[in-house]
Order: sequence, then structure tokens, then C-alpha cells
Amino acid sequence: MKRILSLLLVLFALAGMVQAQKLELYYYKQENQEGLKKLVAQFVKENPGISIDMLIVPNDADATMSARAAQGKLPDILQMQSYSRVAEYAEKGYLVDLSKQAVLGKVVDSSKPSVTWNGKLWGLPMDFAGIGIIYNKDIFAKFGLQPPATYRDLERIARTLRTNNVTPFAGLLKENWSMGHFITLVHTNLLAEKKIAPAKFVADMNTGKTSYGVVDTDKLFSVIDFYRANMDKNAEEWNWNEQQAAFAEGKAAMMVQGLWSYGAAIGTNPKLNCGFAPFPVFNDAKMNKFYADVDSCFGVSAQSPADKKAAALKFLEWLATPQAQKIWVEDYKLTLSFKGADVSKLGGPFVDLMGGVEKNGAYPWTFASYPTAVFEDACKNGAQQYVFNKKTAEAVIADIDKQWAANRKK
Amino acid sequence: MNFILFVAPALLLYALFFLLPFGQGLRISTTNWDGLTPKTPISMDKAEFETKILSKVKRASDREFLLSLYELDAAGEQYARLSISGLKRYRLERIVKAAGYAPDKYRDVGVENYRSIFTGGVDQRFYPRAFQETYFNANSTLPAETETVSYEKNFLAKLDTQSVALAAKFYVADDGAYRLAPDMDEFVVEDAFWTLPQVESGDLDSGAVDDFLASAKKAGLAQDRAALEAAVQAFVAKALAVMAPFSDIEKAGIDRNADRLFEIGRFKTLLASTWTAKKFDLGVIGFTIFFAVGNVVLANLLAFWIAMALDRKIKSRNVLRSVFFLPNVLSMIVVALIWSFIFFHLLPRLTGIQTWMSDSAKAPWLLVGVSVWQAAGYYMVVYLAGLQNIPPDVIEAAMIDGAGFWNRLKRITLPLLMPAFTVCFFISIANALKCFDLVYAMVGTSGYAVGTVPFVMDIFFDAFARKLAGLATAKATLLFLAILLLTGAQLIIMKRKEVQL
Repeated sequence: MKRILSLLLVLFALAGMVQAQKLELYYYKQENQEGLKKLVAQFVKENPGISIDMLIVPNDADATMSARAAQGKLPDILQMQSYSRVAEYAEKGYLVDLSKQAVLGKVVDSSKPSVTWNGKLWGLPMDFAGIGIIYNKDIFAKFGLQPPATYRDLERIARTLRTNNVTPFAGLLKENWSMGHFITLVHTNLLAEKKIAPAKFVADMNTGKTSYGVVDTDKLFSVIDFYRANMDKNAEEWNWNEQQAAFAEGKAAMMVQGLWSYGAAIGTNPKLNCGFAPFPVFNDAKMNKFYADVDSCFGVSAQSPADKKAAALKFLEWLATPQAQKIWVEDYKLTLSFKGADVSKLGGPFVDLMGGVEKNGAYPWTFASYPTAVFEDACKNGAQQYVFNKKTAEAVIADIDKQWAANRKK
Repeated sequence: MNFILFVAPALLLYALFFLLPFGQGLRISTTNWDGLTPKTPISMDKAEFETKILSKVKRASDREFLLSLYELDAAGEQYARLSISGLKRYRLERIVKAAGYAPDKYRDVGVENYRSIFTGGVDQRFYPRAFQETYFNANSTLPAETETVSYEKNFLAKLDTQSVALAAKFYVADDGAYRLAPDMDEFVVEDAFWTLPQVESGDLDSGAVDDFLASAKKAGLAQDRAALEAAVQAFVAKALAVMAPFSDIEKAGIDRNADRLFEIGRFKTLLASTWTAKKFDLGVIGFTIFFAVGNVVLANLLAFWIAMALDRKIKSRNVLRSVFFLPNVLSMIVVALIWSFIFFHLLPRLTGIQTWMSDSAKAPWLLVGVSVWQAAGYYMVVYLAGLQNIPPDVIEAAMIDGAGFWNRLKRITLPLLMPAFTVCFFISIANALKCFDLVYAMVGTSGYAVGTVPFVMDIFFDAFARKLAGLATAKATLLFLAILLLTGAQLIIMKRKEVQL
């Protein structure tokens, strides 16, 4: 008996020695999960000493992550939304400072602000994403339409589509985040009209020097109403699935979405021929730019033991290698923030996005710099309640101001 | 022996899994915690750590303990610790607290959270309140068509004859909806300017049209005739600068369309200020009570009724019993998916009514309905068991004595079924007040817009969307007390009514 026991013990000890360094990687981007899995599999293959458990929390990702952070059990590698989320976790000390990591040197400078807090870099910026109008090129061609350059163009397109019984926009009003994105998209555009830099606006909100209503709010809500009026009559009942189905089947000609949903639509209908254009808020075409910024980044948990940290950093380092970049683009189907990255394989809408941004620049994702509670509650729920007729335009602005004041970042 | 084998482990588990977390919850409910800030710093700059914490720790053993946890990084700039748990964590928290360090978002605020809940200090969506639904924003474009019922009841009915005449110029009843008259269609009127030959050729800058339309609209909304004329003059001047004089016909067209914009502005102001309706929002508290009452009453009534029916000798009653119990076997998420499908795909086609879950008048009832459908089967089983426990000879004796159905029900069945009622009421009250998954899966994030946010969902949003973990915990504590008191009272009252044969 004793002998068997000691044999078992030796076996366990041996198993422990050869056992791989086990990391936990958390991600929230639910589209093209296979691509990320492939990426991780390739890394593990090249680094036999490391294994990676993948954990996805697609919706309410922040709820789960903050609960795990509070228990001191954050995963070793975290996929995070840029700006606010990074700043929040960095401020509370949950992240490893990556400023001195070699891999950050390979990142284009323009995407570094998205992971900067207190002058240091806390994440590895990955995909650059845009929110705008994804349109069905075939439907546009059928009615002789061009992608809109101005707001008037868009009004005209919507009118033409409606008279031909095509729903202009596939909407998604049952979930609040879509309207949340939309109100901040128009708001950021309107800041440009007032010549206020988004960063300055956020800073002034944080010191209580300005109001969310500093822009032309009449225009802000009239654009929201225009958007709603050109959705399906029943869009309040639609969620993501109905939106994607309506667009993929060609029942609706456009959707205001991030390019992440292009992957979903093309998955439903591979023959879909899409283009991507900025949502034009102005009649001055030069003022209309993509609402685009770094969407996600990877960070490393400061509470992981030193050897796991090292392994996690190795993974980040590896992401910049050519074969990792290739898998990222071709299988994960996302753009990259590395210098000289080749994204030509991503398809039409991505080319539209990168071309448009290169030519005209972009409006940054200001919502990512709002305090979390302001965007999650006051903006998302506020805009949705407005569309459901439960809140007036003035009340939406007043509540955003109120919640911002309560959540001022220092 | 019994104590060691059974009572002691039970007490231990009770303390470990109930008392301890509950105590922790109580403590958190008196803080302003945001749900993320760690109570003790994970990393801190060297100087800050030394002055704020280390220097204030008096006992040498505590200081040693601190330094065994916090490690200075290679550059010598920052102290950081790894994740710790259990007694170590507790000791660290005590030392750091004794040193007088408290993070900004994890401070003691006493009973402030509770006070603000009771004094109306938390978000207004928490409380029942009257509010006004407004169906049109004066700055927006007139809708192509409006829904008949709301337009007639909430707008036309409130107008004087003069305004009715104005409204009749804009919206004409046509086949179940009011449609916008084409010559009052803002888009068409505006197009008269956008399609002027000199604009289309690019001679006249499109900015001029944009500016003109913006000021004409503004003048229309303010009903400022002088401002409109000034805008027209400015526009005509700009147009004349790039081309030969307008013909009289062209000038008349511009004037006519400017007048229309003015008229549209007048109507928009009227529509925006008049087309409203007073509504009542149940708020989180109201909806929770509505949902609980509806559930307890309807689920028990239905379950009792089915149990009575299936207690008779009908054919296939065993099959029927399983059929009615079946919904209870399904997970709430599956139930939610099934009914979402029915409300979105099936019912609109069958009834022609398009909105179900997004209609705030229907949604609370639908949710109660689905929840009753799911729960009734379970209570039915309890009632059936109770019914079968009633000795048949008592019923037979009553029948021989000439008691009719109602008398038997009132004097024999109901009193003898009291224990079953006690159990079912207890479970249904507690379940309805704790409801989360069904509503979250069916309404999700549109809860506040539709007005169907139960208490637990509001706690969830407080903790994770609004970053008010302290307040959320206070609410959870109150909900716990409410359930405890309600079910406790219910148990005491109903136990008293139970009778023994």
C-alpha cells in the first residue's frame, strides 16, 4: 500500500514538473471566436511550456470582470475595451504597466492614447474599428444610389428606398447599446461643428465646466428621430438577430453599426456585397468622417504570479509576429494596430474604412472616455428612453450631466 | 452525539455560507464602493506607500507582515502585491484600515445608502411616478404617417376648431393611419431649394441652401415673420450674385415654399406641445409589487383550478398532469426564448397587433403571464398531493349529508388544503420578489424604456452599469428583509388557519 502511495506521489510530482504553465485568457468579442481560438492554438503549439484556457463573457463582460477583480481572481490576460475600461483597471492597480515592453514599440503611435493612463501604457492596442453605415451595394445599385456624402444625401436615399418599399435602416432598439453608440456618434460629430476637441470636452465635463448640451442639441435629437423614422415600424421589438437577419436578407438596405457586425452579416449571407460609409451628420461633406478608434486591447493582470506574467507577456509579444498577424486578420477578421500591418484581405468595408480614415481622418470614440456609468446608463438608457417616447430631449441631456457630475474622474 | 453529527455541521455551514456573506454584505452596504476599487492597494508608488501606510503602522510584526506581501519592483519605484485571500486578506485589510488609509471609492458612508433609498435620493426610475409621454420633437421632421388612435386621442381631441383646420392641412386619415399631405412634406418643400438649377450646377454653394433652410426652420418654429423674410432676402441675394435675375415665376416659387416652411413650423410647434399623454410609470418598486401580486394570485388560482380538474376521474389525467407540469422542467431562459419567439413571430401574424414586448401597457402583463405559465405546474403538483391527502370518507359523508359542490369546497376541501396553500404562497411570494432571469432574458436592456425592471435587475444595473455597488448591496439587504417579513407574516397567518382532522 505504502509503495503504491509513494509511487503515486512521485507520479504526481513528475506530472507537476512537465505540466504546462496554465494561463487564463478572457475575451469579450463574440464574433469570429474561431479566429481567436486558432490564434491561441498556434501560440500554444509554438510554446509547449504554456497552455491557455479561454474564457468568453460576451454580454455584461464588465459585470463578470469587476466581480472577479473584486475577488482578486482576474484572468492573466484580459481583452478590454479601450480608453475608460483600461484607465479604470489601471487606476485601481489591476494591470501590469506595459510601457517598457518591446511589443508596444511596434504599435502605431496614433493608437497609443487608447491604452494610456497617467502617462503609461497599460494595454496592447489591437483592432481599429469604425461605426458607420454598412450598406448593401446591390440594393444601392438597383435604385441608382451612391453612398451618402451629406446628410441631405442620406435623407434622399432614405426617401428613395422607402418609396420602393425597402426599409432604409435595419434597427435594433430592443437592446440599449446601439442607440448609446448612436447618440455619442452624432454628439461627437456636433462637437466638431462647435470646434471643441473631444478630449477637451471630456476634460471639461470632468471638471464640471461644460454641459453635454454644449452642442446643437436640436440637431442631435432630430438626427436620432430621423434614424428612428427610417427603421422598420416595429424596430422596438428588434434585437441584434433581427437586425442582422433583415440586413443579410436584403430587407433593409443599411445599418448603423460597427464593422464587427459585418462579419455576422456575411456569415449569414456570404453573397452580401457591402460597403461602409461614415454616418453623415452634416451637409458639408468635408465634416463627415468615420467614427473610428481602437476597439479592443490586451492587458496583463498585475495579480498573476511572476512566471504567469512572463508567459502572458510572451503571448503579447508573439501577437506582433507575422504569422500571428496573418491569423488575426484572416481568421479573426479584425484590423490591427501594428505598424505596417497588411489588412487588404479583410474585404470591401474594411478597405472603405481604412481608406476613408487615411483620407479624411476620423472622429474618436468619445464614449470610450466617458465615465463608465454615464455611457452605460445615462447615454444608453437615456437615448433608448427618448426613442420609446419616455423621456424628452432636455431630460436626456440633464440626466447625462447629472450622472457625469456624480461620476467625475479625477 | 447528535449535536456533533448533525447540528454542529449545520451551524458551521450556516455561519460560513450565510452569516459571513450576509455580514460582509451589510458592511459593503454602508460604503460608497464602486464594485471595482480594492480595499487595500494592489500597487502603489513607493513614496506614497511609505508615507500613507507603512509609516503609520505601529506594530513591528504588522509592518513585517505588510512587507512580506508587498514587493518593491525591480526599478524600485512601486510596491505591489499579489492576490491574497482568507485570513491573510482580512489581516491586511485591518492593518491598512488602522493606518487610516481608505480609497476614494470604498469609504464608509454610514446609513447614507439606506437613507437615500427611503428619501427618494436614488434614481427616479426606482419609484412609481407620473410622467408625460411626448410623441413629437419640434426640431424633427414630421413623420410620414401617424398611428390613428394616439393621434386622435392625444392630439386632435385637445384642439380648438382653428387648430383642427390647421391639422387637417397636414394629416389626412387614410386606411388606418393619418398620412402627411404631400405639399406639406418638409422634404419635398426643401427639395425645391436643393434642386434649384444653380445649386445643382454647383454655382450656388450648397452651404447657402443649408444656412437658409436652417434659419427658415428656426423662424417657422418661432413664428417670426420678419426673420423668415430676412432669410429669404439673404438667400435671394446670394443666388443673384452667381446668376442672372430670377424670373417672377421662380421668385414666386421661392416665396411660396418659404411660406410653407413657415406654416410647417407653426404646425410642428403645435404638434410638439399638444401631442402628449400623461402616463404612469410603475418604477422598479411598483413593477416588483405588480409582478409579485399578479404571480402569487394568478399562479395559485390557476394551479388550484387545474389541480381540482385533474383530481377528478378523467381519462388521460396522468398525461395531462405531466403536460401541465412540463413548463416547470424547462429552464427560465428556455421559457423566455420560447415566449419571445411567440410574441415576436407568432402573435403579430395571428392577431395583426405588431407590438407586444416593447409596449409598456402590455409588457408587465405578458411577463406575469409567462411566469404564471411556468410556475403553475409546480404548485399544481403540491395542490394535487394535498387533494389526494383528503380522506375520501369525509367527502362521502358530506355528500350523504347533502352538501353541494360549493359547500364541500368551502367547508372541507379548502380548510384541509390549507397546508398546501401555505407552502405554495410561501414559495410564490419569495420567487416573484426575487425574479430576475425571466425578465432579463425577455426584456434585457430595454427594461427601463418599457418600465419592467424588477428589483433584482435594478440591483444588477446599480452594481455593474451605474457602478454603485454599495447602494446595490443596501437595496439587496432591504429586499432580503422585505422577503423575510412578508413570508414570515404569511407563514404565521396561514399556519393559524390550518386545521387538523
